Amino acid sequence: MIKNNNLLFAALLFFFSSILFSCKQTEFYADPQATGLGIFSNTGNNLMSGYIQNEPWRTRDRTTGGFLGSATYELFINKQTTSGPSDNLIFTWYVNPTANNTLNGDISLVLSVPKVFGYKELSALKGQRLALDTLNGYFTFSTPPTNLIKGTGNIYFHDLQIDSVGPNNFTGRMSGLMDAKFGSSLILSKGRFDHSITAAQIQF
Amino acid sequence: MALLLSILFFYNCDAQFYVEPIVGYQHDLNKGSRLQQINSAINVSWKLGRIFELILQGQRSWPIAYRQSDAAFTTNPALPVSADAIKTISPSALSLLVGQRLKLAGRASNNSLFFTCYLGVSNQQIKVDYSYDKTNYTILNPDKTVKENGFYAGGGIEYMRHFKTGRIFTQLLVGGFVHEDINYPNSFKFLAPFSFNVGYSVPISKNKHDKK
Repeated sequence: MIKNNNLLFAALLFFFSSILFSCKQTEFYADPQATGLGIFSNTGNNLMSGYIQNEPWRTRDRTTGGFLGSATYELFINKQTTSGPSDNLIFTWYVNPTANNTLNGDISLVLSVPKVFGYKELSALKGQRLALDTLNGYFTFSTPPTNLIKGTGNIYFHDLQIDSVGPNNFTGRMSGLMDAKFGSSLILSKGRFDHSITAAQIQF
Repeated sequence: MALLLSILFFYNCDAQFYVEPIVGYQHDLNKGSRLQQINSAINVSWKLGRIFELILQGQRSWPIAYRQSDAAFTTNPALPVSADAIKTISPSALSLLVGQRLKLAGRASNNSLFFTCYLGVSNQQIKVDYSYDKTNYTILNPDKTVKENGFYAGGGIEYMRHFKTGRIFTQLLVGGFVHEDINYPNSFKFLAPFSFNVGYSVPISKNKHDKK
């Protein structure tokens, strides 16, 4: 009886803790070859990192929501409708702010896609290496409040897989490498990303 | 531990004791692992009874380098998207162990079978080196060098043949290393070695117990 009560107490404690407090879902494993960056992985570490102006830049932590706060994601993917023949597919990585204000900007990748592009078509990017010259797509580095710098660069999608787990529900994963040059002098190098993807992150 | 052994030694200063150089080979029993080592050790063994010996062992495991290919990738459109990165994994260990021999069979012959076990402290290292174009490529899921202190325990069966000038023996041992968790997703673990060793037992003094 006492044992059962202990188990019940432990279960209730776990349940209420899960509701009240959020949990970190980002794993940072330091890359032994690149000081300050996470490793290039495909295991769902929910992190993008790279050097901007040779200083480490990384995304904010992903956390589950709790009673005391909402969930945070390091990556969102959305589609922007345009008046032209194609729409924009936008991947946005949100910065983990540091004391160095020049690094405190979010990085986006903008790709031109057909109007009929749906989330299931994201998987077509798997294995693609794209050289972006602003005509077929571009990068942006945006700092508050409205400063946005466009850039060129390269991205390699090592993995991008969306798996349906029910009606209008899916999970996925995405990993790869990128580098970019924003404006005339801001350089992103050795960028690497590894995310598990939930339906909440794909907003179209 | 050293104090305990010293006390035992001086308390049993009339005991037969042996110095035993040992060499061998060991293979990792972890699933999927191909890590191997050359094993070397020096034992000091006290014969404390007709069926029991106490052992102090200094042990060194030397790496047999294991080479493997990992995948590295680049965003540079002028280069192939992927390339091989040659990974070399070198596991080594240094241990100070206390052990025992318990005679299972062969009291009245020149051939004896023992149960042998060891327990002690160990420093283990698995060194990882990569060879690839580090300027242009990035390795997917890279391994990194790990080095840990912890406790080592092992045991197994030992066959021993007695001669007038000493004893020759062979061992089949299995061991494991207990250490703090390593917060890094390496593709390998510290070794759980299955070892085959050969040793020679040189008697240093004679006494009342030296009757096989």
